[in-house]
Amino acid sequence: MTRDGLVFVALVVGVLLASIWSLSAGAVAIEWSVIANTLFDLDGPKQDYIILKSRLPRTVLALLTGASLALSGAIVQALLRNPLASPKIIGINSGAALGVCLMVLLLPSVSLAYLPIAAIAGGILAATIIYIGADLRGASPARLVLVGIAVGFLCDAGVDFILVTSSDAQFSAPLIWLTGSLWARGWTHLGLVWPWLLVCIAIALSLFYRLDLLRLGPQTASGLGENVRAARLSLMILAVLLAALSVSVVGVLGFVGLIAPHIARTVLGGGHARLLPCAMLIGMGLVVWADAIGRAIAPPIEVSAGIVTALLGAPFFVMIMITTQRKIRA
Amino acid sequence: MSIDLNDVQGGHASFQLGPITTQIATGQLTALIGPNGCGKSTLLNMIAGVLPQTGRIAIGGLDVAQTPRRTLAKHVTLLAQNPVVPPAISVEQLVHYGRAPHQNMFGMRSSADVQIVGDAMDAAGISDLKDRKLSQISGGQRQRVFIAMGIAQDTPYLLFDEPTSFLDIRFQYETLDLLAALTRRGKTCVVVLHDIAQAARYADTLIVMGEGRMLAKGTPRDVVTSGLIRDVYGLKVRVYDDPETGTPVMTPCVI
Repeated sequence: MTRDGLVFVALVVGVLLASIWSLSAGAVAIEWSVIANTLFDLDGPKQDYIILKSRLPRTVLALLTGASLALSGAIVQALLRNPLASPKIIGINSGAALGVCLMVLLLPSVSLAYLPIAAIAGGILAATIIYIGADLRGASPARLVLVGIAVGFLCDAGVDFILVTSSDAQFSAPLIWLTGSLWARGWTHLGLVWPWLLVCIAIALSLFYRLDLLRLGPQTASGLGENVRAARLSLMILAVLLAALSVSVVGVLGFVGLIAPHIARTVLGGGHARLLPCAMLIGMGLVVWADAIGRAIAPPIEVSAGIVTALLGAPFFVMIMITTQRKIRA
Repeated sequence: MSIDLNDVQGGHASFQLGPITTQIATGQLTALIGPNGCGKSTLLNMIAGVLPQTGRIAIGGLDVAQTPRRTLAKHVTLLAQNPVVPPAISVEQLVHYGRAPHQNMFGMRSSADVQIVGDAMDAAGISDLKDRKLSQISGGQRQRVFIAMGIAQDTPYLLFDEPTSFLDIRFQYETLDLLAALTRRGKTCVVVLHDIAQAARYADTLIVMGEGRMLAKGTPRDVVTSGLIRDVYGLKVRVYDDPETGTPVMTPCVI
């Protein structure tokens, strides 16, 4: 088998193991045999309530949002031709979180089903502001990142402000998950987003060749027949949808979109035909592991997945930066 | 058939190009020469339809502004001056991107694509590098990889922006020989060059530009004169015939 094949097999196995462990870890540790009995309806001891009602939807949600955030990050990095870009860095996640926050606090009576729409609205609004701000003097990728960071911090400040100053703790406490956690996520949350996420993931994976060509820069890409403006715009919208939909159910898991495509590029390299699925699997594994570790560290207390991804990811990220720096010099 | 430029104008606040009206004959190698910042690259990008302009440009009858990009990319190849280099891509993969306008949205390779890409890499002399990553080869090798990508696009019209930059003298001439061979096979090449002697040696027609305008156009012998070089570049030179080819070359005068 080729090296790339091995990488993919290893990733798939990693994601599967993570998913099984995620069903077992938590305040009530559950044996693997019990998990199998419950999932496949076998004879023997079962844990229907904890597994089917709590941990299974949570794990599926972690898989879906991990995939979406990773793909969104891969798209943003290809479009901006900057390996340090991510939907979080350019402010999309924070915009989406602010959208959710505002909806819950200003319109408390509105159904939960509108959360994804509020997130998308926030994400697209932030992306539009960023684009207009960057476009004033010609949209260079670097300027897009700078304006994005500024808008992102503003939105973050807005979210924090609302959460902290909200006089009624009953309103703000349920929003703690916005900082990036799968705490108390269930089938309802999954039901809100899974069809949209699946469609967006499929479209994103199918656009690998457009990303390959766009990465050659606007001049070469349009010389090769790409309609660069249209392709960039539609891919950016797709990246916003993927990130915003994820944020609407699991909050700002900022590190995944940055690091998953980055790891994928280090282990595989090459075109997006392999890069996108690889980044997707890494993102899935990362969020599931992070959520499960967060539950297993000190049960029954849960450490939020956002904190765990950052704790795991940051040292790894520094390591990658150091090794790639060496490669460039060598 | 030809490349027809009609009242071509454009640019931005600090640089205005045109108006330029001229015809570039097919089946010829035409060189664009002129001082730095005179608009050679801008004009080439406008012909390729990559930069906007207000006049009319038709390539072999195709109106550049009206034709869908993909259709255009099957007729015209543009080799940019400083193309973005994706480091983790292999040489062969990059040359394959040249086939993009002929392929479906997934970039599926036909056996013809593989054949054409192989021939293009042979022609550019990079076949032995094909499995290397772009980050692992020299600047001159990269330049030839992009030339191979341009050849693989396999269009009747080729626009090359300074294809000889970054190349040592041997590969400069090999590249120019390659362009001359493509022209003999019926392609139309428009090439931005800095070296006037090289342009005079290889081009059928020279277009001299200065400050966004076309200052002269004609055969190398008619165009390359000490008077024109002084007017355009502000340099006093002596022009004489190349003992090897009989085309005009020049040496700056001692002041």
